[in-house]
Amino acid sequence: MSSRIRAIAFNTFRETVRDRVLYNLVFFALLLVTMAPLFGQISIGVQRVLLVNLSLSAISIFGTVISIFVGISLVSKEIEKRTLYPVLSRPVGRGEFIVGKYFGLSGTLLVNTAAMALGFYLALFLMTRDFTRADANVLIAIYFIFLEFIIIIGLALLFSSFSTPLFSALFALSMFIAGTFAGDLRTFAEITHGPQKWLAIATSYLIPNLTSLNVITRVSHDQFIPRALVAYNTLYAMFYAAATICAALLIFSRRDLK
Amino acid sequence: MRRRATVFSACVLLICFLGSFFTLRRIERANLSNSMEDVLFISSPQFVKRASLGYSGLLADIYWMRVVQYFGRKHLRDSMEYKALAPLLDITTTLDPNLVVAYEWGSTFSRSTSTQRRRR
Amino acid sequence: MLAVEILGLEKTYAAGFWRKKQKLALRPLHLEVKQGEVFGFLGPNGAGKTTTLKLLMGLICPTVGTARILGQDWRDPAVRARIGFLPEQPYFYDHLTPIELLDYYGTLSGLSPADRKLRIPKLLERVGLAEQGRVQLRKFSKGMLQRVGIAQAVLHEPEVVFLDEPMSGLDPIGRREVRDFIQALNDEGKTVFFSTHILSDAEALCDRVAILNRGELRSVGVVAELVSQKSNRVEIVWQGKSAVPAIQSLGGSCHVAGETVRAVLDESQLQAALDALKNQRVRLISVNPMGGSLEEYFLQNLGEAVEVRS
Repeated sequence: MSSRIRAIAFNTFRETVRDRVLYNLVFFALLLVTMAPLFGQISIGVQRVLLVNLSLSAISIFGTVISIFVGISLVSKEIEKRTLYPVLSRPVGRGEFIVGKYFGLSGTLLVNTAAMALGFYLALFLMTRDFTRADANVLIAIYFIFLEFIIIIGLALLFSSFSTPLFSALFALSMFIAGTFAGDLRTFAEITHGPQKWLAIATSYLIPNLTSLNVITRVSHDQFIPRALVAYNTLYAMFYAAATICAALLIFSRRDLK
Repeated sequence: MRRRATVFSACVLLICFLGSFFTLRRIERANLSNSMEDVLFISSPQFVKRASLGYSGLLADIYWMRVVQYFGRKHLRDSMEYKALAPLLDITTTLDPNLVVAYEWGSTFSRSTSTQRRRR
Repeated sequence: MLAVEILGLEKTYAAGFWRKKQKLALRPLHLEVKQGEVFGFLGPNGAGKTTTLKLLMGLICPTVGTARILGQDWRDPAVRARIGFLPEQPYFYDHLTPIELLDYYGTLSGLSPADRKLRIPKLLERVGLAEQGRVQLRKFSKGMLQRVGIAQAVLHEPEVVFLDEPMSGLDPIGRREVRDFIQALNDEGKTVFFSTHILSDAEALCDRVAILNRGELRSVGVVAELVSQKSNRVEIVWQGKSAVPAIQSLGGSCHVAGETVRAVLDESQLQAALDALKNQRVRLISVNPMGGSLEEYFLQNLGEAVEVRS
């Protein structure tokens, strides 16, 4: 079974890369390069804060867009183009297919994020000519951003397993926005009174918690990120992503493929 | 056999979801997230208003909620650090000048903090 | 052991906005395909041929009914390793080359790397794509894609091969090649189950055929038997327009092209027709019994317009 999942994952990776998804790296590089002259105008301390904020936000946004839009097309494109038929007529389970696709896209985003991280560190080195302890801290923020991606990819897969590309994109985007404000939504749920309280609380835990995964500002101010948070976030992302995949699996297994 | 696979997947789904739920509770309890800097991602009121893309009313409400939560938490811990309070209130009222409750309670919050400072 | 046993497979779709209406795509189908046969699945568009194939491949779920392939439950994943499938108008990953595609499918079918390395070049040569092994599939023409499709269907040397409209969209050369290929597969002892609406192909290749219309099985049988059913019609070709009214009065339908006339009429009128033509002093070109073709059988039994290609 694992050789099939690996084959599907690798094929997804290959297809995505050849579809020129990695060209977004070019835009990222362009972004950093065009911002460089701006940096020259400001004092060193703020320079670093700005670079960290800008780069990490860009990594987050670019990656999220890829996660949503490529994630959705993973299943729906295969169904629409009927490339799925020769695959499923082989001894491949529908679950293996979904899991393979998931790992394929996650792998692509891993490569993408790593490349951007490299670009960022290069820019940082060019700016400060020195590596400090705090710079390693930024890696944690980038790791958290990657954890965000694996959650969003899971959601994109889930929605595309039963809905059209347009609605899948809408749902995934909505979940992303809701997830960004997850902390506030939980606060709101706790303040609520009455019978809706349980519904509000349930919803606030249902949406992905992207708030704790966003430590960009903290890292730009060289604040310490507790190890416990790293551990809990990793655990959370794995649980949540696994849950979305299970749900996607359950739905996709039942689906008639027109 | 398919039924067994379905039941198995459903159980895994439930376990994973509960896992995420409890992990999240843990994160919140330990208060590992949402430091002041996160809450105040951008500190300039004008910038926030412009960045809100017309949804300033909604954002004002969100910021207001953060004021309430922030004040509640800090107050509980009896800390003297209310640094973020003024900027938060500033942003809230800039985003939505008509959010009266912010002005009312804002003055109460500020007064109680200055009273506490005087007591020391 | 039968190659394929379809036991009452039925498919109903819920249609309409509120999904209340029932649309019957396939009525309960009972069919048997013997091992080593070339079995043709015929019918006009929308008859339910593709639905049946999709049901057998597990792509859609039947409303009722089961099936067995090579003696096992059709949903059993182990069975999938022993069958091959070519979907209708296949489409593959744009950015892959045939070699990469076959390698991928081969892995999914459980072939070892050594096996794949050995078989893929030979297979590509067999379907005539040896030169294009490293060209990305998005540059392929329809005919070439069809060949890739056939290659992937037989890569893992399945015992039963299912082909959905394998000739569709091909030029006569392509179709001839596919026909030869199917024959070759059969010579190797494989069972071939293919659906088509081109009757001449079915006539040439199949041991038995099943005819479907509007989701219902109309008849099953050996081609020779179905075809030999009486048709009672005769075709006469001659030169000389002047004879047309005489023949028409005998109940024949005439088709005129320049000076050549082709008429079809009832067998019983043959003698009278020949006499009339002799009287008119026309030049007789040919007299042939009509029918004895699957097309005739089809038209008579279904009364639908069907493609005729020769």
